[in-house]
Amino acid sequence: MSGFLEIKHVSKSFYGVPALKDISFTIAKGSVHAVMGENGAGKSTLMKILGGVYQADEGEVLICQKRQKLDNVQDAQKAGISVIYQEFNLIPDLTVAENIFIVNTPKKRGLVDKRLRNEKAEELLKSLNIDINPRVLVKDLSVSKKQMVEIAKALSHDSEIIIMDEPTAALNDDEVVSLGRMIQHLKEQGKTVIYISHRLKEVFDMADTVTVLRDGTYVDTKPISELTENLIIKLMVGHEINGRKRRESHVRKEVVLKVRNLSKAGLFEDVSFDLHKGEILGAAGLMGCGREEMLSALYGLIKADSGQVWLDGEQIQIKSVKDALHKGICFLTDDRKESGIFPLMSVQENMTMISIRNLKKKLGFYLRAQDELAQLNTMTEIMNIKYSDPSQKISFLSGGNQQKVLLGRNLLLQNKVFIMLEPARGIDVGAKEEIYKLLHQLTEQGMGVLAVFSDMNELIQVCDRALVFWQGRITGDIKSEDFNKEKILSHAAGRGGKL
Amino acid sequence: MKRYKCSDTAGLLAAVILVFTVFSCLYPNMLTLFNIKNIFVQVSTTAIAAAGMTFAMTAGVFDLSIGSIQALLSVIIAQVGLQFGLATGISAAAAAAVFCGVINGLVVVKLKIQAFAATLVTMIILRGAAVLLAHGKEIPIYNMGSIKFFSSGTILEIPVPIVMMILVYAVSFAAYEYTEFGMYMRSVGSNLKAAEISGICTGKYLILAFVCTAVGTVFSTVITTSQIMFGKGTIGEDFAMDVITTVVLGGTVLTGGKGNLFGTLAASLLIAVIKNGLNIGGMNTYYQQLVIGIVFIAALVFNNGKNLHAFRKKTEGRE
Repeated sequence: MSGFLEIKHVSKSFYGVPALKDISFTIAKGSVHAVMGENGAGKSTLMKILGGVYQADEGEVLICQKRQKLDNVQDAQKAGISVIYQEFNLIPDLTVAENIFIVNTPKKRGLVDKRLRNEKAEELLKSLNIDINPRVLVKDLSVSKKQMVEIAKALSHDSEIIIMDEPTAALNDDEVVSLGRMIQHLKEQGKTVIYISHRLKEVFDMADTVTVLRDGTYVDTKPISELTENLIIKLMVGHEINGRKRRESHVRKEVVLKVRNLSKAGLFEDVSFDLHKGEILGAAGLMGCGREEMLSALYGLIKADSGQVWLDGEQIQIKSVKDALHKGICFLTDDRKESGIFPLMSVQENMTMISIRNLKKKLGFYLRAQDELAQLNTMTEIMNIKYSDPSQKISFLSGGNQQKVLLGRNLLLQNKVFIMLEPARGIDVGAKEEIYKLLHQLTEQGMGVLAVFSDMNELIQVCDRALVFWQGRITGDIKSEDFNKEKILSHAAGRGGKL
Repeated sequence: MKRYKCSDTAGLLAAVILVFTVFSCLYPNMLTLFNIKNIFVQVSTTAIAAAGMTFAMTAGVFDLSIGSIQALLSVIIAQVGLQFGLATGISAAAAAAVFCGVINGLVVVKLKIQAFAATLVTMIILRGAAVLLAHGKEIPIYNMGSIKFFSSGTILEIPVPIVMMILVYAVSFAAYEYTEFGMYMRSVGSNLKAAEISGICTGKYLILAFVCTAVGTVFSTVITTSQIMFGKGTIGEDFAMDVITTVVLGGTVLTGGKGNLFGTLAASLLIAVIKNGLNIGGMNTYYQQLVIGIVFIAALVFNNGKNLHAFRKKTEGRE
């Protein structure tokens, strides 16, 4: 049987660097087709070719055996292809309905017919089982709802093929489930879904067929029934990673960070816990449970109303980020792009942003290039960061390498406590393993780590203990021996460990 | 590690040389030592203030009020200078400039008003203050001859304005490339939130950005005042626009994060060379403005092309 969507011998290079090499595979109509691969494997490039953003250097794309011209986004939409990118293309200050019909705005006598637009949007959303009022502004929606609006927008063009580029990267478990239902619904309507994800579990839940790419080349396409998680990883990396094993624990007796009765009105209340040396303590909970805010308060980004904090037995006041860094508490943001990297600056500068304060300077102000370079080189070696030149702009690095730079930025200081929000978000399997290995080394040296993982499997795999937050309070304190998903979730839902 | 990339400014420098060569072929008067000195002296006032503005725009803000600051400073130099001597006059002007910079910065940081709006307002207020202080009149300083040093004096045969310009650029470049200050200025413009999380006092650096432009204006004003020999509350009305135009043309990114001091210098030279050539050729000033406008568009298109190229490179090939 010949496929519905055929990709034939597609190649693409950027400035002489091949990103895709002779890719060919077919996708059946009405199926959910997952495309997997590490960062840099060429998935997004391929999707952008299908979406008309990039043009292939060689090869062709066929739909129903007809060659398609995909010179721009409009062409792709005419061919019935809609792409939902990782970064949303919604306009925050417009309503849901305005966003959905941003192109084909319903008009009456040349003027925009607002009533008709809202009605049409309502109808569309209802047909997709999405419960969103088309009159609200997009900026007031949660991430997952924004995603639903993106999907609705894609379907308003009557697209037959919907491409989703890592749709679940920013979603929590509940939201992933509802996205899964949505995809099932699209499939029942005969739409074809192409799905990119780093999360293996989802792929097994949702996909019918999996295509794996590696380093810009095509590896294999297999029905999901013939695959296992380990097999997919093996196809993606080219060798096996035995990462499913729990790491060894380095928890020591001494308490490094003691927090008592920390409160901030409206965000978190009466939070008390001890963090031991060498411990990885996970903060679990649903969106809006106050865990990120509590951790931000420990770093001085939010000022707590009351409560005490002891570091190494000494009571400390954290009034600002400077205080926290000075005492030896550091922080990794969960939003690399928004609040992590300095996009126009070099890899080197991004790395030494915090530590140059402690560098000895010639004449008291002159920074010696070799000192900075030495710092960069230390971290490059420890973390195996890949870049072409220290003066290369950080934006050119892959997500995994950017994340390593952000981690390295903090590790150049002698820190005692590391607060990490989503240390392994949006990076590929290989880089994830390396970051886990790094955590292992850090705890071995006695560092205490406070981390947030929204991916429950990750939390279970990495943490020594988990604090579960619900409505700003700690509702559960679970040791790794007793970890299981249901237990954590029931605490997170405020049901005290009972299902 | 080499931080500064010459290629960022190569295009502009090539344009300067090209334009200069063309004019030199047309008008032999162009290529005389006297005229070249003249071009550099003309360029110095804008170029010096533009160095300060480059820092501000690198930090992601800009300052519309420097024209008014210039007027205020010229009045202070004249009035204080006449009473207490030139040195006191210039010191008072410098103190006033720092004060204006801090006020601009505080309005932006503490009252959280965007730099554009904030300095638009302080521009009006300071202009009013300058005119009031001068009682609406010109304050001649013909009996303060020592100030002439700053426009017609020379050091080792080099006119003082040129020496000042070279010094300002040398110090600025070193500060920009080789100090914590320069790096934090860029970081604030590149990503304010990330700078905050890195424990950088972003407010302090934003205020310093405005102080930089104001201090640059002090040097420019001393030269200008010495050229015109009076203080007046209405001078420098086009100053802010000239300076900002130069910085933008020089390739500093409008949204902050990346400045180009040499680009700023090259851009001010380009403008001066064109004006000079057209003057020698005897072109009407109104036509001159048309020509300069067209050259600007060409330069910006060229720069855009480069930025677009960089942007594509940034987004393409990324997963």
